[in-house]
Amino acid sequence: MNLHDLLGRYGADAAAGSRNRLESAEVREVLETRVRRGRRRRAVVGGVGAVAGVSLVAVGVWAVAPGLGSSVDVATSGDPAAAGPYRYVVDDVLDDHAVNDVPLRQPEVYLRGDDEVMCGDELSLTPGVTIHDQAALGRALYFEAELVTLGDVTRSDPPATPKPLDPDNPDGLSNSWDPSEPIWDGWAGGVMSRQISTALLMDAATVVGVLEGSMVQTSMEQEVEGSAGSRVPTVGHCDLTEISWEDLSELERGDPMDTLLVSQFWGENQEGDVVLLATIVVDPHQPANHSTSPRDNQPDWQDPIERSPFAPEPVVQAELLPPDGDSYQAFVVPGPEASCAPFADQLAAGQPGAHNIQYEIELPGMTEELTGELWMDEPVLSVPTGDSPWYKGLQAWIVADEVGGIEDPPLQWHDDDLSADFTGSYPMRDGACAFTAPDPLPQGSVFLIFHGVDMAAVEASGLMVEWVEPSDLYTWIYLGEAEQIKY
Amino acid sequence: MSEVDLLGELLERASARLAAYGYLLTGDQYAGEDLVQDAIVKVFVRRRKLPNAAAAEGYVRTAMRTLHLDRMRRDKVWRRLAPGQVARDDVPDAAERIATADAVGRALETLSPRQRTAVVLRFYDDLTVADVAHEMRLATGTVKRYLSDALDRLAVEVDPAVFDGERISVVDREGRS
Repeated sequence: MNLHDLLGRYGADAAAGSRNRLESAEVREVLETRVRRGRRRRAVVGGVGAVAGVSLVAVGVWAVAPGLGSSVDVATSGDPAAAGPYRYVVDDVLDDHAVNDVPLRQPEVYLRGDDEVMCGDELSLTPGVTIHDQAALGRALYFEAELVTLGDVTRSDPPATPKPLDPDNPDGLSNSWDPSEPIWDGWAGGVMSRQISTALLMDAATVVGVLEGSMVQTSMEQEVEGSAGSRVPTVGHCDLTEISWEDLSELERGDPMDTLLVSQFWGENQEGDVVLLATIVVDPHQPANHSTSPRDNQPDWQDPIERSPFAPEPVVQAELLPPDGDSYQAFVVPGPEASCAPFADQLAAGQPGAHNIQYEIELPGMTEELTGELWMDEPVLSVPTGDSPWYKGLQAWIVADEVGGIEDPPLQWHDDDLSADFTGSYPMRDGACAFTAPDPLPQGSVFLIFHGVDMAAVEASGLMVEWVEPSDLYTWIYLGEAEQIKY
Repeated sequence: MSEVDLLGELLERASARLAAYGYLLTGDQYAGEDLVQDAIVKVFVRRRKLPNAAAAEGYVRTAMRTLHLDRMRRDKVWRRLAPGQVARDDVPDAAERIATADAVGRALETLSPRQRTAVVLRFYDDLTVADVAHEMRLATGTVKRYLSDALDRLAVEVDPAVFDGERISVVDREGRS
């Protein structure tokens, strides 16, 4: 028996119960209904079929990455719409009710499942918290929201010229974005197995636009928190409907004050079934009830710092030695001054310098492919962390002689992979600096930088840097010349 | 055959296989069922000319893969807070939830979502590494790394003889000085 057969047998055994449910008359009827409704929905928007995934553009953490914006122009006139901030906590109901007397209500809307909301639905939603199952209590479930602009959450200037992210598709996604575009910024947390945020565009009581902003699903219940906002739907845009970008650009953008932001939480009840626990509806016409913004929850948010007016002192660059198997040349470099491209500035000034501490570092098994795609899911490279080496989890960057756009893109860890951190924000980088997505295919000498040093290696070199705080030391690892690093 | 009859035949014929596929991809029975249903709706809404249930099953499997990958890309980086901060007494023990009687199941539970997806696409869907990379929008080297790490973990629970010969060279050292 091979792995294919083993997987097949395991999957069949594990999903044995699912078969009965899927074959049931009830499920069949639901599917038939959903198909009929789906076809009517396609008729509403003209039935065009093309690329799905417009709702992939989510806000919150993603909103600070303007490169995923649509190419729809926003006509701005007057002050942008604003509402909130709001904060709703499920357990607040216990202020008015005993646990056993908490009123339970049927959901007025479903963001998932058989009766999932769609364009054309007539809804009357109650702002605030609605509890559907007593299992919602005691989970510290909460939802925060604020109607703001994309510029409010990105804190960066847009690029001067829109540029297609894919050079082979000049009419596709571009890195242009409109800082005045209204969005719902959101943040949610608690013990759950799934949370979804969806913006509904309403025409009186009729849904005319649906845009799922964010969804998180965990393999088991656990306490999580994270961004949970949404962009504003366009009129006629109904989630799960496939609309081409061309058609999207012709749709009328919705008035954000005509939207409702709906957040739903799922988790296990006493019987162990995953059920819809609670719904929170945010109505921008309601007065604000909170004093801080959802984005204030983001742990990596940094206040802008004063930029140094001085360029780094030029230094004589050290002789760079190409990697030898798993051995790489590492340098200890003092931290940079704040600027819009602090590490790129240091590199241009000659760092790593000939007089910097240098030593040999082993990175066994590091994937020897520096990918050309420095954004989205594409890991920049894989660095082995099985034995928890000193650099695991440290803030990291890539810098090269030439990297278009943001010149020293920060990286973030996903397991053993380092991928581009699309926020582009980190200490030393002024929040007012212009941001563009990094170009693929860096050129010239390429360095992986960690904020931190291998103190054992530094001490062994006998050249302690005493006048600099250890926390202000960085390790530059020479990965080689870009054209010699496999893609 | 009417579309209604086709849907019925599809469910009767392929529910078990589709549910199994959904479970392998998502690691969760209910999420797997949701994935099956969403994919069926996606396929049938488009009024494709489906000659028979076998063809429909193929379309649905492809739609399941696409939906799963789309959702994986959309998921934000959510910070997991420390366990034990919840007042509820009936939070299930994580160890009990993870432990299964099946060695493959135990091994799959230790994989990250991306590793799991890569394993399923490569060894269950029998896609080439290049195709897996294309589907997941990753570099082939990254996929190789995922598969290598996943097989290492699987080998802890499963007889390595099961996938002898399926090891993939992770690093190509040609051309390095």
